[in-house]
Amino acid sequence: MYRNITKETVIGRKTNLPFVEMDGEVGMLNVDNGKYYSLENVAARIWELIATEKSINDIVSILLEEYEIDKDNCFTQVISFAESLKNEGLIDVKG
Amino acid sequence: MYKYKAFGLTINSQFLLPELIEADGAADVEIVSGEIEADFMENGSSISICCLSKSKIIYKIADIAACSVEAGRKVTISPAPGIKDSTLRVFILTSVFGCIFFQRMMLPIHGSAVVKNDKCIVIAGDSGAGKSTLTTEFLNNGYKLLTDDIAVIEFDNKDRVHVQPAFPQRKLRTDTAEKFCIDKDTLEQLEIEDQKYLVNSEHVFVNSPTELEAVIELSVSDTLIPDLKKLSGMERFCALMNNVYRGSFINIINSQEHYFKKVGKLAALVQVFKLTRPSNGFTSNQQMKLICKELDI
Repeated sequence: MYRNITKETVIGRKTNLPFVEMDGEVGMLNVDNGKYYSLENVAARIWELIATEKSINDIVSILLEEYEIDKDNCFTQVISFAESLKNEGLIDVKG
Repeated sequence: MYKYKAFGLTINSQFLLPELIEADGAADVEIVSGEIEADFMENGSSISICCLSKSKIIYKIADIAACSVEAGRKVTISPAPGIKDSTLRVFILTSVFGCIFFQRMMLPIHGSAVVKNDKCIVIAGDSGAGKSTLTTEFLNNGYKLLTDDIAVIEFDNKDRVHVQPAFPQRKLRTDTAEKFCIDKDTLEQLEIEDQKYLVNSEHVFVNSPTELEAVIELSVSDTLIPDLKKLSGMERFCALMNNVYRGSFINIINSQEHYFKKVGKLAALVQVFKLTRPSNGFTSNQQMKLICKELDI
């Protein structure tokens, strides 16, 4: 079942996904396909935030406090990033 | 049985391995001579693998030997008729130990390690990158040798990183171990090299685990002078992952997650530098000085 990610969608890190953190960057391994991923800057921050499940709305409101970015742009980018994480099988998606 | 210690492992061997340091103690690894019963697939390559799992690896290299390695502990070797002892020993010390490391979940980095003031630097990189030359440069300048081609990494319970001593011998010019694996043409070259370029290094050998100060990934490029760059974050992880000795075993024995975490831990704990050197000219002295200056040693 394919569902688009919206502002209300709740996302969280896939459980048992091995990842490492260093110098503010995050590296992770998708055990299913053996691929490595690396996240920097805001992407690494989002990864930190979704250690516990959060809606796109929640993520964006936190980022708006931390970064100089306008709201619409932030939504567009976070949703697009969440789609990538979902397509690569790195997060669980609800609602 | 001969008894040795190398890479932190105590080894009982029916084969004489005179380059290794003799040692007593309960054996971690037992190497015996015997027949290998397996249906080797002839695929035109000099290497045939017929059985690979985490607990049991069986393979052979044509005209050299077949081996069975079980649980990182029990090794059976069936040498090809007429094989030279020196060639068989290279097979044991590279291919067989490669299997043992991964079955035991140890982390081997493809590189040499040199020691000063109880700390070591690992010089990693592909074959032909210039590891042997740079290692020789360090040894000529008062450093000691911990290992020549395989640096086995260990973490203690306080998350300090150590490299295990290998044995007091090194190869000059080319990385025999790597070439060994490729094809028969190079094997003849190996035998010549075996006589010509194997260097006894007993007088400079350090036989105790040594704290790791930094890993240098050496590579060749079209620069005019050597350049040293400190790697950050995931660059460190990638550089280390790319230099795992026989890294393809990680996928073969399906231990990606274990090694991902282990290499990640190493990347978080040590400094990693990328050293690029020009393809022409002898710049090993400049390379060494760059490293010493950067590390303040």
